[in-house]
Amino acid sequence: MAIAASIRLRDFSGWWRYIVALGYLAFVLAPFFYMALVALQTDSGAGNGDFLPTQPQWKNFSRIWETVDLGLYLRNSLIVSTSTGAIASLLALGAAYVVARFRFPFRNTFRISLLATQTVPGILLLLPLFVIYIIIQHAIQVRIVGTYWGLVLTYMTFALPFAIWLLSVYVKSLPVELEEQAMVDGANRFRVIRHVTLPLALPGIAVTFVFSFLLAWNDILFASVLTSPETKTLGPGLQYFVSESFSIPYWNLLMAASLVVAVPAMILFLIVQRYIVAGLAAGSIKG
Amino acid sequence: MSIKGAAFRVAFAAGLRPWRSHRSAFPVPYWLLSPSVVPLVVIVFIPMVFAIYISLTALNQNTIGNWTQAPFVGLKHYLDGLDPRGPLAPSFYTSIKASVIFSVATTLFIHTIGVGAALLLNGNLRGRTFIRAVMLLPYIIPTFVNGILWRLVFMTDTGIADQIQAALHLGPRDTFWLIGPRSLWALILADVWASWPFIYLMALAALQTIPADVYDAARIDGATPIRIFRRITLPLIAPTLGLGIALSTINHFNNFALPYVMFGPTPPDEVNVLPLNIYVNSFITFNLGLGAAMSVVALVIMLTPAVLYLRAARVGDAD
Amino acid sequence: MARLLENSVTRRRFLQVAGMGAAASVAVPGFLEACAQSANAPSTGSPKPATLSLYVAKDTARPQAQAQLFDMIKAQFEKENPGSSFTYDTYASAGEETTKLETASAAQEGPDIFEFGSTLVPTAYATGSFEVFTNDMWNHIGGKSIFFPPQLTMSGPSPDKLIAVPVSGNPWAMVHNKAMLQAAGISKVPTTWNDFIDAAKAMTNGTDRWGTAMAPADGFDPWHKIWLFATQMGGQLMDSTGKKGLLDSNESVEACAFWLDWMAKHKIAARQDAAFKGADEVRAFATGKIGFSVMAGPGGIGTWDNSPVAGQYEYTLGPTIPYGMSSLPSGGKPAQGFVSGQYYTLFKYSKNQELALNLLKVVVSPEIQYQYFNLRKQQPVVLDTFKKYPELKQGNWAALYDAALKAYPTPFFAAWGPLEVELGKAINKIASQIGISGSYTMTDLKSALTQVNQELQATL
Repeated sequence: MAIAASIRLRDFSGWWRYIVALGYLAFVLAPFFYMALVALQTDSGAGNGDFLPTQPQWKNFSRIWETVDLGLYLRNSLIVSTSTGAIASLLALGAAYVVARFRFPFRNTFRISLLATQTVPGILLLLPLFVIYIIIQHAIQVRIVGTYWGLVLTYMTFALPFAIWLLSVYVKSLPVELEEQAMVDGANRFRVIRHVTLPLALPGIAVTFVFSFLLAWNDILFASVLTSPETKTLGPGLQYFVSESFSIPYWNLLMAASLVVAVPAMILFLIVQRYIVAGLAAGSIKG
Repeated sequence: MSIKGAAFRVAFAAGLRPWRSHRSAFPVPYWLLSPSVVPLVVIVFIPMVFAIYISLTALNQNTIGNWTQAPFVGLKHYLDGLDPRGPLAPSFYTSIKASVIFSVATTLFIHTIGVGAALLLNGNLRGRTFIRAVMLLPYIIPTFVNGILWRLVFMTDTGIADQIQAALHLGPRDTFWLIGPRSLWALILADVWASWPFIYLMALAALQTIPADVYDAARIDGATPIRIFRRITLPLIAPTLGLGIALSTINHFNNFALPYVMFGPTPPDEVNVLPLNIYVNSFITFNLGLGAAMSVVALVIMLTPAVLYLRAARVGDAD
Repeated sequence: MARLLENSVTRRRFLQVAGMGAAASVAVPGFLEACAQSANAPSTGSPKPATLSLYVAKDTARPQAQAQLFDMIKAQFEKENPGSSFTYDTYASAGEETTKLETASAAQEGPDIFEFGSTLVPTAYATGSFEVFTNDMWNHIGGKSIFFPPQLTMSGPSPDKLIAVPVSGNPWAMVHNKAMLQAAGISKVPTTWNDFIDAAKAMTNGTDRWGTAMAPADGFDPWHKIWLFATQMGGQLMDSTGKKGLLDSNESVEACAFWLDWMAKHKIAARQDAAFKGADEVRAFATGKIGFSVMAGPGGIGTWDNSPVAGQYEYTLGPTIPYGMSSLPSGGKPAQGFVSGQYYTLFKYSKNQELALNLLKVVVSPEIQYQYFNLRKQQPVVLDTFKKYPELKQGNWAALYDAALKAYPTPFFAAWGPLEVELGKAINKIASQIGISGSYTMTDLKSALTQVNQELQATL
């Protein structure tokens, strides 16, 4: 009797859940829908109060490629962001391994400083970092500013603290016996990490990859200073649409371009999202 | 078998197996650590020291051409900003207040919404994979695009917010969302929409580690859903939420792009958050010394949630 | 103090001399070209070939036109300097521009040529990172006198310390909607602010048609109007030493009150405008919602030609007699706007300054200057171009040309940048009050202006 009642209760709550889920979907998707509407409006009509564009300007979706070099920026962003994601994750894994498995002097200071660096505002670092890069460029005759790898190096470094933090907790939760077994079998440290730890840590790595990717993908401040016309990424690139130097901002073009360039990022998300959930599960429980 | 392997085997057999670390058996592979530490020192730590130095100088458009010779003014910028009697203080304190209110309110909202979504999608639901993927979408919109989007939504009379409000007879069509007290709500909504997926992810991940039989047992004992949540779920996901709260408070406090794009360099007091004030000072009025000093103060303020979290999670303890 | 007073006297004299020079060069066109060509004689020897880098503003309204123009310049430049070429990077906003200025100044490394809007030239000068042009350098590119006289007033703090070469002009004039003017029964475009208010009231219906719009929520738009009104009244927003802000002076307060009264008292601008930025006003005009737009630049043409008001808009000179007066008060200037335009500067740490000068020479040649108009719809700054191509003074461009002649320089101090923002803050605050409650008090306005003046003073 009680069981039947609780089953009925569960059905009812099931129906209720769909309503709430619909509410969430609406909350998330409504602004995207509005973005699409704005993307189809005329230059002077965008944001002017017309809810539905009377004449949908489908040509906006081709204009965005001609007004600015959107193809180039998209390509650059993909290159820089995926590199950032991959390199940051791998380096973080190495560092996280050491933090998780070893005691060394200042270990706790190091761990705490990882969290503390999250508080540093980017604006504070912009000018000093640029000056330091120029000094290094002169000192060792290597170009940093205006290259892909200079940008990747910068983003990767900003992504490292969170990545190391997350992965160190994650690695700690992995059983150490497997590694020890491998060492007994003669593998050196590097091979242990590569063949034992890495596959097991893949979910955690997926998280740090996405996190680092997005950090690079969304940045505008450092990209505007560290890129050349050939390496310019989407951050400063999209801003051209709303430049007010000689015209009104083209919100319609901006929304169209934003929708278009969100597609690759979204595809990436879809691929990695099932790893992410599993990755965060173990990585953050201990805090 | 290598010598290392042999040594390890001996140690292993002798029971010299420290619980979770190899601390006594092998040298620390610093070479694994250095590729991370070196960039962090060069790219984060040194510029920060540099920036602190800048905050003690009168670096502005007159002296930037030769920054090494910018005059040293000591704590002048800090005193200018923090001294309640000074001319710059009202703006500074307004900004701190706005930032604190904004980041606390936003954090509160995204946690409620995020945990709610996680609870919802943890259970069985048709189309769960699809919905879970969709939930992440706001995260991939660049902040400045998000700012422009919500500015359009909240424009008086022409924006959707006012149009919907008028259509539903909830208020007049010429309500102001971008100036006046409502501007804070506009900013909060814009930031909440864009950033709640982060908390949702963390909460969902934490929920996934709670085995189903815990719930079943509680239900059989007759506990109501609310009790289950309060007594079982919440304590188990608290550590994750704690990290989320600390990080998101910090990130929202640091958010400069969103208010800048929504309100411009001269925003209403309610949304004149500290990073925006810093940006205007550093890059628009070229008062770099003052901007750096305000950044340092912002940094110190933000260490509070970080320290609170570290205390609560008791990081620093053994292991 | 005396030295700076001397500078302002010098500037007035400079304007007189330049005016005379302009008249002379108009009367004797061939003389000028001959002069330029003979000054071309390579006195410094030909520079070694290299690729220059430029940092210029992105023209999103006409991106292909901008690319085309640069191709033309490049073709000419490469012909005259075999083995050399240039590349250009663009910035999307003033914020990006200033960031680049900061980083390049601090690191002493950056592009060879920087493009600056006129309001940023004083800041660029203050950094000390740009070459002061010697007479030789001016002659190399054609001589100072080839330029539209007012433009050079924003090239430097005094005529012997100029760092910026004008490349295009951005005159401010008033634009009105012809159909709306006619429908309201107004036959003559207003020349006094009294008439302007009356005309605007006639065009306002209180719901969806307004005499004009305002953009008080813009960080930079307010100072344009306040400066205009104050200048016409004979006042200043900053004293001539650049060390004292005058935002709370009588003229300044009156100027602010007059502008805010558009919304509060005369109600010729909608209360929604309290949240408007500059682009919103352009849009309002484009959709036929407002009849006048005061101090509009030619940048709106691109939008308006593709909007419902295409063919309906007309530029004229704006009113110059302050509200409540029947003639200009003593010290008042019949200003149409402030000197505005784009300038090229030479980075001090550039290794190719010779070559950069050759590039500047190409940019200010009349044929290329004409292309600035033809392709990009910007006003040239070289007098000869106006002589050679009469269409530059036809239609709306006639009014824009007149307005350009009546442009006055803003004080050449780096502190002008902070002044703009501080003034914007005060206006924004009071306009918000008006938007929400419908009115404001003079006490509030005065105290807001006093507060921001104190903040400004603290940074001077």
